[in-house]
Formats: sequence, structure tokens, C-alpha cells
Amino acid sequence: MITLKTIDKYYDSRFQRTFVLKDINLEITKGEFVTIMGPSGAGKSTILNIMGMLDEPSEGEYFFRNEPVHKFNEKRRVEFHRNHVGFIFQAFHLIDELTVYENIETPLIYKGMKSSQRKSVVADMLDRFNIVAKKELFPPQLSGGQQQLVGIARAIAGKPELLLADEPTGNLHSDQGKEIMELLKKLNREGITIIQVTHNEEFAKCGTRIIRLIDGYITSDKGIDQNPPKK
Amino acid sequence: MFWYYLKTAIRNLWNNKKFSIINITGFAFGISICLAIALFLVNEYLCDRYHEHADEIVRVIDVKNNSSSIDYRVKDILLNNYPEIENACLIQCAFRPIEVKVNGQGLYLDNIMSVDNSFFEVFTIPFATGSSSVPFTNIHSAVITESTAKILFGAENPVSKEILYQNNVPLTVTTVIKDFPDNSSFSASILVNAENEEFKFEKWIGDSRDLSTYWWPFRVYLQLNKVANRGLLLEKIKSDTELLVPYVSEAGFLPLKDIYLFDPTTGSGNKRGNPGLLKLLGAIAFIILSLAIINYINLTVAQQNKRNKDTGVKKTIGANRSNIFFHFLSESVLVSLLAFALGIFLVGILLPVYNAIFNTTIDINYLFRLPNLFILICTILLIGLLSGSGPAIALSGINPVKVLSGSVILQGKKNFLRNSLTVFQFTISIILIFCVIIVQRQIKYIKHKNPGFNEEQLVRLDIPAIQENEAPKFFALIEELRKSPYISNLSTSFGVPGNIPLSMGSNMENTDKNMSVPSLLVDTAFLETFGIKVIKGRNIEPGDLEKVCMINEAAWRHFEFKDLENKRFNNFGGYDIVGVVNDFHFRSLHDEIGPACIIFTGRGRPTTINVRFVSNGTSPGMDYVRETWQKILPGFPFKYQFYDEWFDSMYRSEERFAKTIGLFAVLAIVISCIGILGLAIFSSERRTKEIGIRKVNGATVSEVVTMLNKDFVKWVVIAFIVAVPVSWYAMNKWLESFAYKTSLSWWIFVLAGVLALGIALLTVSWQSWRAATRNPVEALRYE
Repeated sequence: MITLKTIDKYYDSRFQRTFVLKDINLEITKGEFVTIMGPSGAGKSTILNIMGMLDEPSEGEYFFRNEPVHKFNEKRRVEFHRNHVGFIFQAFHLIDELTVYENIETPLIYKGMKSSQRKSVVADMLDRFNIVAKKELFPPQLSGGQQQLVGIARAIAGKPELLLADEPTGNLHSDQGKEIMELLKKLNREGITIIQVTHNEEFAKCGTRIIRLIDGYITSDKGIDQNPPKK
Repeated sequence: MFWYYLKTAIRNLWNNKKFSIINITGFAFGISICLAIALFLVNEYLCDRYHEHADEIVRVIDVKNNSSSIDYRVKDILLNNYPEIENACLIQCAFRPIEVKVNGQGLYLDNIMSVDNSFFEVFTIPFATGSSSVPFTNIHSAVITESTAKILFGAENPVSKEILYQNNVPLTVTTVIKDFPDNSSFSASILVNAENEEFKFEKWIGDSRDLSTYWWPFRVYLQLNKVANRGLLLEKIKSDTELLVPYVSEAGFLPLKDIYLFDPTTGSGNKRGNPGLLKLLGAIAFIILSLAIINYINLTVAQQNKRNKDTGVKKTIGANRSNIFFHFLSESVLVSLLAFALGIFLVGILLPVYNAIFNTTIDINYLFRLPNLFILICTILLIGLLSGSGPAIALSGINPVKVLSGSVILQGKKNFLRNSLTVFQFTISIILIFCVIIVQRQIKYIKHKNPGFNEEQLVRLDIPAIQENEAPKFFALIEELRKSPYISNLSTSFGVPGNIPLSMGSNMENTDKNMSVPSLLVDTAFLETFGIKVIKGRNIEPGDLEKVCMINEAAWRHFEFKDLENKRFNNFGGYDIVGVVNDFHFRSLHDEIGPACIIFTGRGRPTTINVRFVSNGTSPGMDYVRETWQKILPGFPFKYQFYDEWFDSMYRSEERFAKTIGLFAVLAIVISCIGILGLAIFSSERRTKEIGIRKVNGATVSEVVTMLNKDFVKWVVIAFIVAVPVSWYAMNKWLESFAYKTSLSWWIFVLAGVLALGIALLTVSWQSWRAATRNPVEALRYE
């Protein structure tokens, strides 16, 4: 589904060129649950942003479902992004002025979905995540875990094929974090491709593959055996 | 979708209450001023349009002499010979107080118009009592307005009542008309029949022996046929030379709608508007509106940190550029709507005050009438779109990645625009402050400038028209007045400081400097009553009547006299010049004092009695004067004017100008302060991290405040540098209309600049202090 070929990302200042990503080659197939790990400044978020079409690589090619994203103009990129990608953030980034219901509804409005259809999709999401009772509340009134739930609901409301999560449990304490990870695993089993960035080794093991980045290079790319043989 | 935008816009405004209130109020302020000015301009522009035939009415003018004074006989000539002319009428206005007597009681009315019966057909003159197409039944008919009727006759029906004009012309009231509206170029209390020889107010005589050179100028108005072609008609008139040539060599038409504002001719005799003022007001409205829009843009962009995050989030969940664009536009249109609503409300409140100051009857409901309402709504939308595009364009293109990771937005380029807008606002404020100071100084200067005579405790009594046989009453009055212990001096004269109607040729021998000299005809008590000093030659002696005169310093300089030997004015009988008096103002300080001459004579009917009261004797003195007048001259209108008040009132239009400028200065400053407040908030939020780091490294609150304030001082200084030459030029120009000016000292510029700086710092310091006292830990927390 995703193919990155010799992706570079750098910033030019007056005297030097700073590389954030160097010579990234990656292939991710549909249905995988990939974790990207690495120390701070390694470029993890950058890679995620490139894959999520929020950012452009300085060099290299990016194919999403065999379409050359690096050649898209902004309009097409936005369209692709709308229909195929969902994003979750460490800081949740909900819109504080809108209720839970409206937050989940917003991406559907941008997609141009009709009102009646929106209603049923949102209702379905609320139900699935068990937050129907909270639908008229505003984000500041929710706990961290609940906010992230809303964030996930919002991200998958449009039924994207790819879900990108940037440190989804970073602002949550361990119990909430575990819940979120369980949810992500469940979603993955239902067929959504998930790529997450995290520092947490334990949560990294929830996925099917771990990619490690150091200083912009991929240093290892291993699949995880979900069911390690009992010793 | 539209609903979604509206919802988010409303919620956004509500959640940022502080900002929203500042934004909307500032905007509303600016809008209310613009609306008020717009209403005023429209009112002026629509002057005279209310007449039913307004589009077909023109005034005949003499193109060659550029004059509107046309002999009255032209009216019939044109009416009888040109079928394109449906109707025609004559008008003559006299804008001076006229004296009338009703039931033996005399008083003064403002303004009289002399017209014919067709006037009431050509123009739309609503009647208050009945309606008659021929209000003038004979040459003694008079038509009065409703307010005049109230003044003259109280609640009684004025029809068929008698009025005595100028004490010798009897008139009978036939009809009462409604008062002329304030957007009409006509203004009169009473209308009289032009067919009465007494009411042909002006007469021009070519050769007094030849009756055919006598001329009675009027204003001639024509009501043309709806389909008449004016150009062709004028051509026809031009070719029929024998008809009009004795009266008008080349005739032209001046449309009615141009008369109030754009009349280039002389002798028009109607109320005139001031197109220069209208242009100035229009410019002011435009400037104020621009300031308000600039403010909105600045303030909106200033609270962008929070917006940016939202914008970034929206982009990650599928919004494209135009979605973001519409978010901003919907908010700005909403603000525009609210600001307009508040602005209209403000105008509604202020309009009565405004009408009182400027003596107008502007009606706010004009805004809500149909085509105007539509224009209003379009304007609201346009302004909303305009002000929204600024932030929208600036912020819709941001990279969500940068935003969400918390880095600073808005490159230096945009900063420049914002800063120059603020500099612009401050420049305007400084210019206005400066103008206010200068205008006030000038008014104070001319009011306190020595007028050349002692204007305190001095009153002028106007002598009404008296018949010959009543003259002895006058002398009786003067004798009685002299007896009062409260009155120190008394003098009668024709012509006073402040108004010299008579000018006579000097006709002196051995000089090429003869000119027409303004002359006062006075009695021997004049100089002492007015406190005018003789500075050369000798003082007046009792036997001097009919023999001598004195000139003022300006005349002495003009005629280049070296002494007073054998100097004689050979006019009006001939008078030796025996002395020179100090210059005194005989007009307002707009004009330089020119040569004048005081002739001591008993000839010529005096029009004023000038009374000087002893110190603290003014009040009982005036009571005595009033009682004596009513005792000896009952039924004669008692009209008086204190000299100090009179001279003060000559500067009324300047005072009004000062008030207007003062008002605009305050407004501009308020708007600029709102603008700079927004900038301060923006700047301090942008530097939150920097402030936090500085504080952690040991900076004190005051050091941080100073650092933040320093930036603004820079902008105000730039504004000051730009403002100085502009203000200097503008005020110089304005002062040119005065012969006696105050000075444009350097310290005034400095004062204006310091004031502006002070206000700016005050506004900014509060915000800087808030930013500086914030807990650095919060500032440095990683998002």
C-alpha cells in the first residue's frame, strides 16, 4: 500500500543542509500494524507526516496505493488525504469550541457527506466507543483518555484505510494507554492499516513490525512475532 | 455546511469574549461615524430634491457676467415665447432680520422672501392651513410659516390678520405654509408679493435720469416641459436676440439640484452648502473606516496562535485551503454584521445630539428604506469579506505540521505589513492631535486679541425703522438713558466696530492713493464710549461736529502721511483729518484691518445706540435700559447685542470645526489604541517563550516590560516623523484664512508626539506587564 523510495528530507539554512531523513526506503502492506521508534530528533514524526501527506519529501518518491503522491498538487493531496488517511495526535488536538459529536462530525462535513448520512455514521462511532452519554460535552470537560477516544473516533469516522498515530499514548497514564492500544489492535484486526510512532517499548510490541530510526536512517526493520513460542 | 461555518464562527467569538468585544466595539465605533457622515452627506446632496418638479426646474443665469441676478421682466418674456417652458416664477431672498409690528408690538423675524404666485406652483410648498393656488390675492398679501405664525399670533388663526412691515407697509396674512425643511435651499419666515414695488428689494440704476436703465434683479426659475431639450431651447433663445438682449446678453440654465452645492454664479441669494466640507467629511469617513478595518485585521491575526492550532488541526482532518478561507470569512462577516448593528445603534443614540450641534434634521430611518437597506447589507458583506481576507490569506496557507509542533508562524514579511498599518494609524492620530492643539490655540488667540476697543460692558442697541414724526421719542430715550448712574457713556452711530456698512471715496488732493474707505458716522461721544485712543493729532472737541474726522493707523500707513497738516476728506461735505486713532477690528479677525475713517457728524440717520455700563453695573444697567425703552418706545422691537459676545460669535464656524476635529482626534486615538493593544498582545504571545527564558535567567519584571515596550516606541517615532511635515502643511493652509495667526511653534509638535507616545505606552504597558508577570514555567512547558 505504501512505498517510500529513497526519501530525503532536509532543511537548508545559510551555511548548511540539515538532514532530518536520509535515504528512507520502506514498504508497508495493507493490514500491517507498524511501529516507528527512535530517540528524539530521529525523524519519526517527519516520516509520519510525509506518509500522511501533510508534508512533502525534499527528494525521493512516495507511492500510496501505487499512486505517485510526490507528484500531486495540493488539491489532489488534500483530497487523497481526506479519503484515505486518519490522524491521531499525542495532544489529541480536538477543536475545543465543538462538542464531542461535532468533533467527530467535522471531517465528514469536509468530505461533503449529507446530513442524514453523517448522523448515522457519528451515532455509530459514539456507540462503538461507548461515549454516547458524552456527546454534548466539550473536550475540556473530558479526561485525557476520553479525549483520545474522541480523537480516534474522529480519525476513523471517514473509514480511512490508513491510520497514523503520533505518540497516541504520550499524554495518558498507563491504564488509559493500555486501553487505547487495545482499541488500536482491535481496529487493526478489523482491517485498518496502522502506523504509530511511540517511545514506549511495551506498546510498540502491540504491532506487527518495528522500524527503528536513528538520526534519519532506518537502522532496523523487523517483523514481530505476535505469538512468540513459549519457552 | 454554511450552518457549520456559522456555528464555529459564533462559538469562536463567544469563547474569545475579550477579543471579540474589543474587536467589535472598535469596529462599531468606526462604522457609526461613517454612517453618521454618510447620512449627513446624503442629506446635503439631496437638498431641494423633494420638489415634485425638481428635475425640470432650472434657474436662468447670465452666462457672460456669471450672475443669477436677472431682471424680473425676463420671466414673462420667456414664458410667453417658448412653449417648452411650462411655468416660471420669481424669487428674491433677503437674509437679514426684518422688523415687523403686530398689534402694535414690534419684533424681528429672520429672512424674508419676495415671490410671485407661480412660486407655489413651480415648487412644492405644503400648506398648513388650507391650500390655495393663488395665495397672493393682492399686493398686500403675505404668507407666513407655521413657526412664524406661532411667534406672531400664538395660538390664534393668523389668516386675515395684519402685519406692519418695517413700520410702514401694511400686509395681510392670507395663508400659512409649513416651515421650509432643512434640506431646502430656501429659508424664510415670511413671503411677500413681488408685484408690490416695496418688495422689489434691489434696484440697479444705470442713469438716474433715464427710466429705461432701471433694473430690478430677481432670481428667475423656469419649470421646463418634461421632454424639453435644454440645449435646443438655449439655442433658440440665443437666436432670438431682440427678445432678451437688453436684459441678458447670453442666457444659461442652472439646474435646481446644483444650486445648493455647485452654484458658480454671484447674486444667488439662497442657502449655500459647502462642497469643500463635504469632501473633507467624505475623506474622514474613509480614513476612519480604513483604520477600523486595519484594526480588525491586526487584532484577528494577533490572536492567531490559538487559531493556528485549530487551522492546523482542521487541515489534518480534511479541510482544504478554501475551507479554511471560508472559516475566516464567515467569522469576519459575522463580526461585520455585529459591528454594523452596534454601530447603527450608536448612531441612533448620537443622532439627536448631532442634529442639535449642526442644526440639521437627519433621520436615521433613511438607512432602512428599500434601496438603501440593500446597499447597507452589501456594504456589510463587502467589509466583512475585505477584513476577513487579510487574515484568511495570511493564515490559510500555513503548514499544519509546523503549527501542531508549536513553532512560530508568520514570517517577517507579514510583520512589515502589520507594523506599517499601525504606523499609519498613529500618524493619523498625531496629525489630528496636532491640529486640535493648533485650532484651539488659534481660536483662543483671536478671541483674546485686543480688538482695538474696550469690548466689555458695552452693548449695542439697534435702532428700528422710525417715521419722521416719531423721531423726538428717540431723543427722549437718549436723554433718559443718560440719567442712569449705571451708564458711564453713550454714543449713537451709523457703523460700529464689527460692522461698517458705509464706504466712501476719500477724494483727497495731491495723492494717488485715493480709495473707498469704510466710514463710521458718529457723535462726539464715540471715542470715549468705545475706549478708542487717539495716538496722533488732537482729541475731539465739542465744536467739532460736521467739521472733522479721524483716520485709523492703517489709513495713516496707506496714505503715507507724514503729518496732519491740510489733510481733508472731500466727500460727504468735506472733513479735516485732525487725529489718528488706534486700529480696531471692524470685521472678524479673518480680515486684516484696513484703512477706516471716523466722521463726526449729525447727518445721516444713526442705526445704533452704544451704551457703556460702569463696573458691576451691567445687570441693573440693562434692566434700566429695557424699562426705559419700553416706557418711551412701546411697540418698537428691543434688539441688543453685547460686543464681547458678538465678537465671540464670529468664530462660531471655527469653534464648530474645532469640536469636529477634536471628536475625530479622540476617535482616531481610540481606534489606534485598540490597534496597538492588539499588536501588543500578539507580540507578547509570540515571545512568550523568550520572556519565560529571560525570566528564568534572571530578568526582572520591569526589565522585561521595558524590552517589550521598546518596540513600540520605535513605531511611534516613525509615525511622528511622517506626521510632522503633513501637520505643518495642513495647519499652515488652514491658518491662511486668518489675517491674524497664532504661531506653529516647535514645542507643539513635540507635545503632540509626546502625547501620542504616552497614550501608546500606557496601552502597551498594561499588556507588557501582564506578559512579563506570567509564570515562566507555563511559558516553557513543552506542548
